Formats: sequence, structure tokens, C-alpha cells
Amino acid sequence: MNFPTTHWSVLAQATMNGDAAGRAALGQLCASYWRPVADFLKHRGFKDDDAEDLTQEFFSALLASRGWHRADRAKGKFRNFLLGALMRVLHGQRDRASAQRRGGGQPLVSLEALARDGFELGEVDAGAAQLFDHAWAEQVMEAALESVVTEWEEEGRGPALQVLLAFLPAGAQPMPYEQAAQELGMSLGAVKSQILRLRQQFRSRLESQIARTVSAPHEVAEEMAHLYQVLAQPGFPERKRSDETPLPISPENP
Amino acid sequence: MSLPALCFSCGNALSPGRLRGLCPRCLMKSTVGPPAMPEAPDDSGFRIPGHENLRELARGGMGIVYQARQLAPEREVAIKMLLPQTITDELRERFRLEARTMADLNHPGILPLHQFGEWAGVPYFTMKLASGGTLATRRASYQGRWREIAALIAELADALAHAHEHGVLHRDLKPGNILFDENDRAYLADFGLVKIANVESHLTRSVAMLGTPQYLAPEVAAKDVREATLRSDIYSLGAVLYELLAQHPPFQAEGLPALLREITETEPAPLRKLGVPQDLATIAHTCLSKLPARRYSSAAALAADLRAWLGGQAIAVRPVSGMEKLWLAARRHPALALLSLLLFAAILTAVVLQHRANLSLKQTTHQALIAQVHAVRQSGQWALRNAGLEAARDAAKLGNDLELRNDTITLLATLGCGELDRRPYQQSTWAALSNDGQTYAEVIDKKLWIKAFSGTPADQEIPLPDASSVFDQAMSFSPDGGALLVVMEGSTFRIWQIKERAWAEVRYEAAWGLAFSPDGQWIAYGEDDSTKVTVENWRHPTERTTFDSALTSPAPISFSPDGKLLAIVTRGKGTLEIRDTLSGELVHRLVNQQWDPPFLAKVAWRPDSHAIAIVTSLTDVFVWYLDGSAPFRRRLAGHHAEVMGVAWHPSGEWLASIGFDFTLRLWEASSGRAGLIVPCGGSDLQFSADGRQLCLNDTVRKELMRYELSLPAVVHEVVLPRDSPDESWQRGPWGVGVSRDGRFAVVGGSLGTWVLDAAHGHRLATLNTGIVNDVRFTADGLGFWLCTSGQGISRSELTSAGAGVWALTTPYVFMGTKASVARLSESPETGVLAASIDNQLWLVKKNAAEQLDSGMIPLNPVAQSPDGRWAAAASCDVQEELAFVWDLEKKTPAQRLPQTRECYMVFSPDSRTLFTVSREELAAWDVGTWQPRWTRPNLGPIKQHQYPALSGDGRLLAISRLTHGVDLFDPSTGNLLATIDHPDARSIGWLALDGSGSRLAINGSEHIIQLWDLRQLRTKLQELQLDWPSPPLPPAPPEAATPVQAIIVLPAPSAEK
Repeated sequence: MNFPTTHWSVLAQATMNGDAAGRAALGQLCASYWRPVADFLKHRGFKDDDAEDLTQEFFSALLASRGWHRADRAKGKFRNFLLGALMRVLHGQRDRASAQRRGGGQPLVSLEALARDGFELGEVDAGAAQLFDHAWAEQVMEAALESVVTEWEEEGRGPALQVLLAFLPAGAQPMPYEQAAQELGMSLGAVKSQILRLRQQFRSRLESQIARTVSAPHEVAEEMAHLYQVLAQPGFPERKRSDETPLPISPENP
Repeated sequence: MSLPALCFSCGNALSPGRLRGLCPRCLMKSTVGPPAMPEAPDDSGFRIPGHENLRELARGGMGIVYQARQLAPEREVAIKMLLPQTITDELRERFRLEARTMADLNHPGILPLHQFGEWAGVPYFTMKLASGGTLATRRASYQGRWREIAALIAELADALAHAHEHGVLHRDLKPGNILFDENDRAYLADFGLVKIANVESHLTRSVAMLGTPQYLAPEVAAKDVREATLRSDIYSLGAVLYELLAQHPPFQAEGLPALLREITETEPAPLRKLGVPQDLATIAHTCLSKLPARRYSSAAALAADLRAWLGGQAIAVRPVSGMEKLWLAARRHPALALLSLLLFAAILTAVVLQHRANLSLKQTTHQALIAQVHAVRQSGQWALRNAGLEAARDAAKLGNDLELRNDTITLLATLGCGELDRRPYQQSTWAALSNDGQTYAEVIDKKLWIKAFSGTPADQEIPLPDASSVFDQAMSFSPDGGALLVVMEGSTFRIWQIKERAWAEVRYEAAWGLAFSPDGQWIAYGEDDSTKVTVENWRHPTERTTFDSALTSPAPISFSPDGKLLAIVTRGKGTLEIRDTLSGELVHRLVNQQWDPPFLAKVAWRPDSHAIAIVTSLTDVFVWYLDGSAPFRRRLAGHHAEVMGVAWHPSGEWLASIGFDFTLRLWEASSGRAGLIVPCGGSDLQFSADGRQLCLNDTVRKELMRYELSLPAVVHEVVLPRDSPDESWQRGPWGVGVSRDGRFAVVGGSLGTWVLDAAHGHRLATLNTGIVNDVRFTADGLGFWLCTSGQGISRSELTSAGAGVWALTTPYVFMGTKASVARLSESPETGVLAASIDNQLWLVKKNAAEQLDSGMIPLNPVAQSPDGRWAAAASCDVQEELAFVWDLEKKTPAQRLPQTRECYMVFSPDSRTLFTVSREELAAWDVGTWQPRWTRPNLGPIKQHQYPALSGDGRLLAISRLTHGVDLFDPSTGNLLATIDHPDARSIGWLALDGSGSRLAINGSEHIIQLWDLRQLRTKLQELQLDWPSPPLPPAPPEAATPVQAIIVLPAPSAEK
């Protein structure tokens, strides 16, 4: 059987049936992508407030637009689709200036046209895609980390976590294990096993986070590998200063 | 600028404030590690502990099933997981609970559950792999095998009884949930999971039920799955029993509402009539009783009765007696019951109960119907359109509803298509359709037949001359249906005269591209290796004319419907010649470098002979419009393979094409968009004369098919061509105007100005005006104004020349300026134009213009009151809340209006109300006192209301939304009446209404123009009881004397005018 991938089907389900489950899933979907979209916009030079307004507007448009039922996995990965839609938002703003001279208001992004015509990833430059995926990776990791933190705190082990958290990533240690053991009043072996447990817990939470965004369980591993590769790339390009002109908006023949 | 923080380990730049300062890259490395190299291309690394070789078996809305090898004990199992995206905490808990409950059910008739677990937060359970398929696929094997059926259901009833004893309801018993193992043992599966799947509202349920509600008990179907009891499970098992006995489900109906009605109101057809043994039939009917109390009290009782029957003993239940039938009927039909004095008291009680039940049933049904209409609208499925309208009609009977009305409007504007009938012709290789699609010719066993779709007139066998045989792939009917052109073996063309039942004397040897004239009297043909074209009267071949075309071996040749022109094509040439039939004089030479037809093209003339469609070996349909001096071309792109056939709808508004991609496409000619795509193979197609049917020859399935069409009569779409290489194509908004009588629409754009027949969307004239920002009809109705960027304000006059012919003057300059004139507003009383010129307010008279002081604020378009007393405009800076009304007598600002960011305005025709649409709110202001008559908040940023337009009588207010369409309001109250869709989601442009609010024109920013016939729309809504009551539908205008036939464009009047 061949069913569309999650994000497509969630969108289609939510807009076609208008049912609560579909809408909730869609809301959740938007929530997961909210931060990456806003970050992406900030990295394109938008001021923080503007980036957040635009993100809000973007998701409202996404939720409001119909025609998702035609959306189709054959047309590309959902992340790319979202990114393409976003690029269209940015480019669409260029039409504002010329419309104003004809007495018209702002034209808006054609999200429906996007859904109707399908989306070519060719429109998105690789740098933009990387930036976006990077932000997305950070978002799911953050969600996973926060759920771990919540659990430790609920169990009353928040203070221990404060010390152990720094050991979660491998590499340069903030302090020797011995010092941590002393601070926590544990044996060295107990500290090491706590750290191991913390890492396993984080991994399982990360899997759960990702599992919510794929269409079938077996796709989780695939997505983890992708995430790994995205993060293995050099970090974010340097963020533009907010007093610089945002890249995509340049009035056409003013 | 500060330097970003870097990770001490890897040097990665860290995002401030994220991940509690941890480095994502290092975190990933230490917790996830690098992805393993896949061992096989499809090995994604997905493992469920203790299992291997996972592969997907099936996927549904909520779950996915894998087949896998369990390692200990070693066996093949099925693993069912929830789909990750559907998981909520509540759902996970329910899944776990249900799995635990199922694990407690230990019965040989229930699919055993092995393990329950969780993987990455996704719960799953493993169960026995049933490899023998489902009962749904085995139904036919039970036909007439009463004993096997009874035994199977008895076993299943045992299993159900076991579940019921453990407090578990199945809730979704159906043949698809009854599985068989490799030894043909049956199991109940998917226990109780439906409880998880149906926690949602009626909306979900109704849509979800579009699948298989056949097995639902009436009390569940009418209300909610939460109403389910063990007796509803018994009903469902009874429905399965019934289906096995009858070989069809107890209730079958087209569409959900009809099916629900059947389930809740009617009795299933008696099984006795199908030869089912009396007692077995009684058992099934008992299970299917509408009243739960009349069903078996337990599954065990059902099993016992089935076994009693198998053992030849008496069953516990008996057929319903006559008196009981009356009682049951009385419960369902209280009115009838009053006739029965005997049951008077009981029936009174029944009536009361029924009334209560009806009320809740009514609400449920109403909501379900509304949801269904909405689902149909959202699905965009052509085949569901009429069903959607039926549901809307049913829903409207239970109450009018704005969303329902809006959904219905969209459905009314959608094309519908349903299969009418099909005729196989397997014996022959081809069949030829007559021009109206009602008769066809085919060759069977070397015999030629003419047959009628409907069976009358009777099939006619045509005697073949000289014992020759027919090459059946090249037959064609004359357009009048009076003659059939046949190719005999050896390439001799003969004509069979259908009425006379005789072969014509004439024979054509080595002729090419033969074509009948529309009256069937004349035949045109070319010759091989020659440019000669001959037109002759085939009954009197001496009456003939011959001329040379520029094309060698011309074929096909096609007469225009008025018979005056011939279209001539030949293979290998990108040229289509249009020649005068009699003189052979060249009228048009249409060249398309993209054509290089290696096989013969097909051409189809629009019924009015003013346009021609051609299909070649390309995937596009090309339409040439021949009216006007310079023919222009529209490319209809969409087929994925060569287009094989093309035909025009009799209205000339629609075009059908059929391609090798096995799709039939129905295009709106004016917009070039395929409104309908139907999967089917074929080559020939014809519309019936009344345009309500489309007939096609499906040469793949060897069937002649007839489809019934529902064409939207409420809206026409026109798309200005954009496959033009013209660089000046830009996005709008562009102006649009509708004449007061609703006859004409004028639309401006980046490629000039079009004058359209507002009733049909036909283009009547094109004016080469350059970029036009705004166009609107003059107050005197004798022409229209054009506002341009760079040429100022121009005017064209439009006057009737009688007999449906209109004369239009080429636009002449009224006020020249190099500045950009965005929009104007004319006062019929003073004749003064208030115009927005370079975002400033100007008053313009002939040869005189005066700028009003606006304090250097750049302004949006200006509105002038019809009495010429006031002008109003707002700042076009979207952040500024500045809107003013000027007193035009004093020429000074008189009033500042609040809540006016990004504001557009219009005055009422009586100059007493000013309507403003700002980002914050919609408002109607009392002119003079400037107090609001009504206000309503504007919508959010996406659906934001933008441009207002008012009908000439001031009784309808239309306001465009930034995207998605136009809202209609009652201007006296501000009540929202309806929302209509516009496909241009980028940004709706200007809009215009005619004098009576009957015609609405919308010019999208991407040159998609919609012409709505609001009178027709409201009439259709009235038929469905969905129209809005106020303001009432204006009286129909006196029938337009003559429809518009043509517009003649005259030169601009001399300069001194």
C-alpha cells in the first residue's frame, strides 16, 4: 500500500476532514517547525519581531490555505516543501512596491498555487536548505532535551542533572569526573553510569520526537541519519546583522 | 558585532540560548553516533527488539502492520503499530489498555496477541500472522453453502461471546476484520481498536464512515459509536451473516445520507425470497432488528440458535408476527399508527419517544450532511459533485447555514461528470461515433452495422457492395448524420446514405483527408503528393471547385460549422491554413514552429466558427482564436502524452480532449484550465447536441462511453494569455469594470484591455492600451474610463449599432500625464473625476486638473460621493492610520476617520453612506455626521478584506479578501451573506458589480478573471433553499433584446473632440 508521508497526509487530513485529530496533528506540526522557520528568517536578516510576525503569518496562511489534499509525496520532502513555501513568501514581498504604485495593496504568497503546481526543490539554494535543516535539527534536539530535563526535575533530581548535563555531549569536559563525583556525593562508577543513562534517555527521547514527524516507524532511523549528517556540516552561516537590508526584499523597478 | 560562542570540542558555532548551551553536533555524536552503513539498500536500521526481517504489510489511517520474524519462539508474526503522527498521550494509553484487554482474551476464535511493547515512544503489539486473507475476499466461496455459513458464524459468535464476557466490545465487526490462518481457521481481529479510532466528533465519524458503514447498527449509525452495546456487535455479526447468505450487504445505497437512511429506516430485503432456509433467515433478521431489544440478548444465544438449526432442531426465535410488524411500523411511522385503535395507548408513548429521538437524529443528520458537503467541496472530486449538491439539498431542509451555503456555491461553480452508460464492441476493432454521439457504426464479422446507443432505432446492417470488406478504422458520419463515409479495402471511399439505405454512386480513389460539409451535402478532399483541394457535391459530382493550397497531401481537412471556411493541415508542416471554401482564398495562415505532426492531426471548430482547436503528436491542445485581425493562440497544457482527440461543447465555452495518457480532460476555453480530468482511454469524442452528454470511443477498453455533464452556469473564468513571450506581463491588481446592464465586462492588465461578453466570457475586443491600472464604466453608461501608468486617463465609447453589433471607439486621451493614474471615481452629477495620480488626490475635468492638499501624505485610491460633494482617501503607508474626507466644495479636509490602516473606500449611490475597509475593521459611516452605522472587525492577515465594490442600486456590497475569494454583504446591516471562491490565491485584485447586483467581475492579480452570474447563482440556491433572504433577489431585467454578436472597433475620434 502506498500512502503519503506524514506531513502530507496530516495536512490533507486536517484540511479535507477538518477533524480534531487532524487539526491537532497539524498544529503540532506547525509548532515543531515554528522555531526553525523563525530562526531561518532571522538568519536571512529579519529583525526578531518581524521574523516572528512573518512566521506567524506564514503558518496562518499554511493552515488557512486549502488544496493540500492534492499534496503528494512525489512532489518532494515535506521539509523542502515548507522551505520552498517560505522562499516564496520572501520573494512575493518584492511585488509589493510595484502594486502600490497601481493603487493596490500587498499581493500575498500563493501557497495554494504552490500546492497546486507542486514544488521544485531547484528553487531553493542548497545553503538555504542546509540552514533550515540545521534549525530543524536543533529544534527536535531541544525538545528531546527539555523532556529529559522535565523528567529529572519531576523526580527531584534536578540538581544532579545540573552537574551531569555538561557531560551529555562527549568531548572537552567542563570538569574531571572525579570532581563531579565529589559534588554529587557519588562514586565515580555511579557518575559514569548516570551519564550513560542520561545519554540513552536523550537518544530515546530524540527518537520519540522524530517519530512524531515521520509517516512510519521505520522511517525514524532514516531521519536520525539525516539529522546526524546535517549537524556534521559546518555550523550556521554567520547571522546577518539586523540593520542590514534583508536579502530577498528588493523593490522591483521602483 | 560580537563573535558567536564556539564549542570547545569541535569549534562549531553555538546558537545562543539553545540546547542549554550544549553543542548540537557533539550531543548528536555522543548520543546517536554516526549512522551505520546500510547492509541492504532498503535497510533503514529499523529494528523491533527480538524480531527481524520487518516489512510493511498494510497501512491504514491510524496504524501500520508489519510482517516480521520473531526470534524466540521462532515464528512469523504481524506487528501492529500506531502511526507516529496520530499518537497523543491519551491515545497511547488507550492503545495500551486495549492491547492488555485483548491479551486477556484467550479464545481459539480471537486472533491471539503475543507481545506488547513500545519502540521510540510508539506503542506496538505483535499477534499471530493470519496469512489466509479476510472474509471480505472469501465471500463468494460461501455462496449457497448455508451449513458452512451457519457453522462459521456460530464459531465467530462463540468468540464474540467470550469477548463480551470479558467486557470487551468489538464495535467494528465486518468481513474485513475476520481473518483466516493458513488452515482456514477464522479469527476475529482488530478488537476494540475502533474505540480508539472514533474518539472524535461527528465530523470525523461521518467522513470516516464514508468507507464501510454497512455493518453498523442503526443506533450507532444514527448517533455515535459510543452508543455501541453488545447488541450492536450482534447486529454487526448478523450483517455479516446476512451478507454471506445474500451475497450482498443488508443495505446498499449511493452516498452516506441515503445509506444512513436505509440503515435507520428500512428493513433489509427478506432473505426467504433468495431461497435461504426459513429459520436461518429468521436468525439473520433477528440480529438485524432495528430495536436492540429484539435482537439476541447475547452472542451465545445467537451461537446456540445457529447450532440448533445445524442440528435440525427448533430455533429459539420465531418470525415476526403480523401484529408485531404493525407495532414496529407504528414506532417508525407514528402517523400511520394512529389508524390503529387497538394500539392507541402504546402508540402515544411511541410518538413521544419518536419525537425525542427524531430531534437528536435531526441534529446529527444535519451536521453529518453539512460535513459531507464540506468534504466533497474539499475533495475537489468531480464524480462527487452531484452527490454533494444532493446532500446540500437534504441539509438545507434541516436548516440554512452560512458554511453550507458557501460550500454549495463552490460546488455549483464546479464541473460535475458521471458515467451514464457504456457499450462494449469487442468484436470489432473500432467504432465510429455520429456527430451527436447517439449512434455509432461498427464492423462485426466483416459486416457493417449502424447502431443506436439507446437501442432505437434498431440496429441496421449495411449490405456491403461487391463483397468487398471494410477498413473499419476510417469510418465517419456526416455532421447531419445522413451519410456514412466508409473506406473499402483497396483505399476506395464509398458513402452510405443512411436514410435512403443505398450506396452513393460516387467513389473516391486515392483521396486524402475527406471531410463532409456541415449540411452533409459537400465533401472536401485532397490528393496524395499534390496540393490540390477539391470541394464537391457528392450527390452531383459535377458541382465542384478545385484550388491549390500551399500544403502537399493535405489531411485532415475540416469544414467550419458555418461551412464558409476550410481548415487544412498536412503532416510534417507546422502550418494550418484557413481557406475560403468556395474561392480557396487564404484567410489565415497559422504557423506554430512547435508543430511537426508525424501523424495526422485532428482539428475541431468552435460551433461559432470563430476558433479552432488542433491536436497533433504533441501533448498540448492549441486553440486559435480567429476573430479580430490578428488570430491569437492559447495553449492548453496538461496531458502527459499525445492528445488523440478534441471536441467543442456546443456552447463553445468548453473543450474536451482525450490523450494517450488515458485521461479525458474538459477545459474551460476562456481560462485554458482543465476543470475536469477523468481517467479513460480513447480517441474519438463528441458532445451531444444539447451539450449534456459527452460520448467517447474508448479504444483501449473497446467501449463506447457516455458521460453526463453538469457544467457550472454560475461562473465563467477568463484567463488572459500568459504563454506569450511578452516581457511586460506583470502581476496586478488590475482594474475591472462591469456595465450597468451587466452585459459587458472590461478588464485591464499588463498586456492591454479586453472587452468581454460578461454572460459567456467570450472576448469581444482587445484594445492595445499598454498597462492599465483601472478601468470603469462611465456614469452615463456610454463607455469606459481607462487609467494608465504613463498615458493618463483615456476614454472609449461603446454604442449599439443594432442587431447585436456594437461599436467601440479606440481609447482617446481625456487627460494626458506621464504620472501613474491608479484609480478614479466619477460623480455623475458634477461630471468631475476624482483620481489618484502618483498617490495624490486630483480633481479632473476635461482639460483641467487640480490637486487637493493632502499634506504630502501618499494616498490609496480615492472615492468620490456620486453627488460630487465628498472625496475620501487613506494613506497608503500601511502603518499609518490616516484617512480623510475632503469637502469638495471648500476643497479642504473635513473629517478624519479612525481605524483606517490600509483603507479602501466606496460611497453609496445615494451619497449618504461611506463604506470603508481597513485592516482593522469594515465600517459604514453616515455621511455628514461621520458616525458609524455599523462596523465589523476585519479578518486576520491572510483572509483580510481589502477592496470594496457596490452594486449600482446600492443593495449589495462585495469585498475582496486578500486571498481565497470575495465576501458578499448586505450593505444596510453589514451581515455576511456568502463567500465565493476565486482561484487566484496570490491576491485578489479589483472587483466590480453591475447595476442590480446580478453580475460580479473579479480580476485576480494573475489575470484570472471571474464573471459570476449572481442572479443565476441565487436562483440555484433558492432551489436548494439556501439563498439569503435579505436583500431579496432583484427582479429579472427585461430579456436582453439581442445577445451581443460582435464589437466593431472604430478609430479614436479626432483630437478636437
